[in-house]
Amino acid sequence: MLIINCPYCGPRPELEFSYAGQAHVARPADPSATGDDEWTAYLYLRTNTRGVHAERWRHARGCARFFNALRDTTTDRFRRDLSER
Amino acid sequence: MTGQRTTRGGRIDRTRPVSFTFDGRGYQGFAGDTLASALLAHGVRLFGRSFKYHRPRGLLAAGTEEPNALVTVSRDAARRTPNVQATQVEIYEGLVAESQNRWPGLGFDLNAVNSFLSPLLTSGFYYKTFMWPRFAWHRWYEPVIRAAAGPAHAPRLPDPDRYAQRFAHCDVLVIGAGPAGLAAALAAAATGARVILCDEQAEPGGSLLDEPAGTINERPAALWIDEALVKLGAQPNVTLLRRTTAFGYFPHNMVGLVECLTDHLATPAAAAPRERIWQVRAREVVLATGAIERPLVFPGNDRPGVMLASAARSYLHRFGVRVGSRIAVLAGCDEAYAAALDLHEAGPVSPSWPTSAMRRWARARRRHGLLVCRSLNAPPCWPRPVGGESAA
Amino acid sequence: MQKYSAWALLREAFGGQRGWQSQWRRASPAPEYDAIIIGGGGHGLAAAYYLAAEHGITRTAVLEKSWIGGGSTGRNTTIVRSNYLFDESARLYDHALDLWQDLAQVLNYNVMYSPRGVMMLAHGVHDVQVLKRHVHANRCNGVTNEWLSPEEAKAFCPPLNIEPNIRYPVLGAALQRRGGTARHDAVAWGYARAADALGVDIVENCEVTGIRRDASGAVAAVETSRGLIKSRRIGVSAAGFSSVVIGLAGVRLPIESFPLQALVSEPVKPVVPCVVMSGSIHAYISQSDKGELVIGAGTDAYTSYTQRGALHVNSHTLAAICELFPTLRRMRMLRNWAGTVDVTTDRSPIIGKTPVPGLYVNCGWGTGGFKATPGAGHLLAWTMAHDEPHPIVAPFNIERFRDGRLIDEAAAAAVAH
Ligand SMILES: Cc1cc2nc3c(=O)[nH]c(=O)nc-3n(C[C@H](O)[C@H](O)[C@H](O)COP(=O)(O)OP(=O)(O)OC[C@H]3O[C@@H](n4cnc5c(N)ncnc54)[C@H](O)[C@@H]3O)c2cc1C
Ligand SMILES: [Zn+2]
Repeated sequence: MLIINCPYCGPRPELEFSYAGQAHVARPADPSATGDDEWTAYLYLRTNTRGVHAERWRHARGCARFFNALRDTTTDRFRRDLSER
Repeated sequence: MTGQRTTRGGRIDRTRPVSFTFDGRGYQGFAGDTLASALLAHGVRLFGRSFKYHRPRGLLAAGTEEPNALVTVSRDAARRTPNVQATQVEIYEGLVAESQNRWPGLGFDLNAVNSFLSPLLTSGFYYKTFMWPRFAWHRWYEPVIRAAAGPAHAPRLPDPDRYAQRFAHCDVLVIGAGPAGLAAALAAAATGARVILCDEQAEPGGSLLDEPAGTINERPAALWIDEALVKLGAQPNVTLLRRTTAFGYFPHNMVGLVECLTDHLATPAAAAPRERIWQVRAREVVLATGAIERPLVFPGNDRPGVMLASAARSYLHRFGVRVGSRIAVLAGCDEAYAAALDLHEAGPVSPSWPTSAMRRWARARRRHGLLVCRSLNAPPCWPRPVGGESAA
Repeated sequence: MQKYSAWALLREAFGGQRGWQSQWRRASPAPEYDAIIIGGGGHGLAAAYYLAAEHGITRTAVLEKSWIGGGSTGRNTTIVRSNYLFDESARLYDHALDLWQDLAQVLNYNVMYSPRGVMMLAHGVHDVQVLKRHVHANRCNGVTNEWLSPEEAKAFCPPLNIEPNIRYPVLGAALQRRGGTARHDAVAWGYARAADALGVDIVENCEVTGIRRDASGAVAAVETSRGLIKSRRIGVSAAGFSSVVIGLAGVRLPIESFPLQALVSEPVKPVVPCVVMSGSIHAYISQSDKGELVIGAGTDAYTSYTQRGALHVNSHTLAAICELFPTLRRMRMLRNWAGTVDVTTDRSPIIGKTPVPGLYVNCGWGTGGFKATPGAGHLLAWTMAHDEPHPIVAPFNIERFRDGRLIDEAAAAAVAH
């Protein structure tokens, strides 16, 4: 069970969080004007990084807020100093 | 090798005899005995049968590294626990234990015919046969193999016991309460850190329990342990968990522990949980789990009567059991010398060790008049398991 | 290939076991191959075998970064079944199930395929509806599957607790009698041995670190920890590492990799006669031929390549198992481990061509690809040999995500082991 640093509440056990996937996946501003490939990328393509991964967590059973974090997916260690609001 | 109880010594309580049964026969041991030490004291040599060939097996070790002596312990019909190591079972009044993986009995096991088939049953033989006819694996062969495999029966009735769990946080988790673990816990506790110290044995002390002549800081080992425990007990920031095994190291220093609470008691309170799972989150983890002696490899080394030198010392010093009357000592480490001398003090021994080093031991040996065989290559030095044929 | 049989065992018994040949050569990579498979799991080895056996492409290499079968093939709980919901899936998984039937004879290696029955439990009204829908859909597709009442489920698996007052009461079950288990190591080794006998090079300790393309954009070679190896036909079958490997060619996949854990208990005499799965509480159990209870959990929540998971995931699974099988509560677990599983959004695999000419992929099997090993290998080989997707795998192309033609087994069952 990971320890996850919520930038609002501090380090808390993984049980309190929901994983919210890769960070910085922006929804195309105008979906109807977006081509199939771009829309597919938005919906389905993820970096699935082996290494330092930018991801989102939600402190669902705590303050309920979303935040970003960097985690190395080869060690599961967070870059603690880099979790951001 | 036929074990016997010494007249004094050991950490057992000779004023508190305990009766139990093994394969239906009544025996008596003392409080502080394990099933293994108590049976060994009665001259029992045969504890189990090997998985595949049903070769007779005795005790190899005295602790959790014991590979042979697996038994089923039952309190009642619903509380049958298979596959427990006899070396880990603390005896209590009325304990009922049975040997496993034999039919009809431990002494005479018909399945031992597998031994004669051993040239056919080489490792991985099952990948190479049982393929004809096509449907036969599932219908014919597999049921026979499945019925033969598994040394014991799973319980047949629902388990009536209760189990507890707890989450805990600490600054330092020390796994193993031998000299290193105790010293680590003392040092950490002195800084005010929250310490959890766990050990799978009933009694903290680890290898020191087998070294009554040993000293730490010029204090006799037993005294040093007692003082350490008193110090640790007086600190509110220290939790000492006995009979507690660390079973898994999970991400971010989460360690799983299982604490056995009632299996050693004759009459556990009805509502008492049997085991407690601890999920410990530690800032630092100290592994002070010690070392186990590596068995030497030679033909017949699995026969009853062949035992680790460290185990022989453990039986002698912790349980007051001399593992045999005529003992040959062979080991790949210093344990051999210590074992030879200790066992010699309780009767004659013929040690055999590989190298000529260790003047100190040579002197001690001369003082005690021990016989030494020198070279590993000299065939007469190979131990013939007493009473057992060796198998190539 | 040296033939394995009872006679061979007997002959060697008298010959002092000196006549056994090694099962496959320890091959060093040649400078060039007609086909390369990246990933020496069951899928990759099977693909190489079928390329050689059915398409005559024997100048083939399997490149494995560590030892063969050390990935998910050697870490899985070996459930084999084919009762998936959709028509496309039914064809795909039943194709694999057909190949399992005589695989031991084809490979001359006992893969211990054991159709002891796979029973999937329903714990609520929704589960009942979902599983009944599966039973009906499967029957329309000629896939065996039947509905059992709780009493019938207990008759099929006696240690199962069907008391109505437990946390996860059993309201019924779907049973596929043809489903069961097989021996994971034997599958990898059997394919490796048979492929090797046909001339395929099995190259272990050979990690692919780059994929080179020529001026036209087609694949030309792979860079590996053991040097450059040329080939114009490359199949990627790297399971949890698929996005990493395919990424070397600049292709992105709709895949994320998660840890998936399993455990085995101490060995005991037979108690659990079949496979029992519970999708809604993420627990499944069977008993190996050696007597160990083999228990699988659900995935951990986050993407990871550590092949390690958390204790609370196992505790949840074991709590569920203890409730469903109260006689097993005193059993102790011996080992626990995790693998990395490649999960697609629709929980269906991706097999076929990629936008890069000469580059083929077989991935996305997630938590449930062991059962498909013979089928996936067979169909990947066909696709690579013809440079055209086999009709069975055609719907499982990469473009389905763009075209909105998902084969949504995720929504259908929420479990895919
Ligand atoms: C705990 C667990 C339980 C499971 N239970 C089941 C089940 O009950 N039933 C079921 O059907 N499925 C199950 N699965 C899923 C199943 O194991 C997989 O889908 C299947 O084994 C995948 O086979 P594979 O040959 O594609 O992958 P793998 O066996 O993982 O092989 C891929 C290989 O690629 C190699 N590789 C990766 N990168 C490189 C590189 N750059 N260069 C060279 N080689 C590389 C890896 O080392 C690995 O050996 C389970 C999985 C897990 C982890
Ligand atoms: Zn918070």
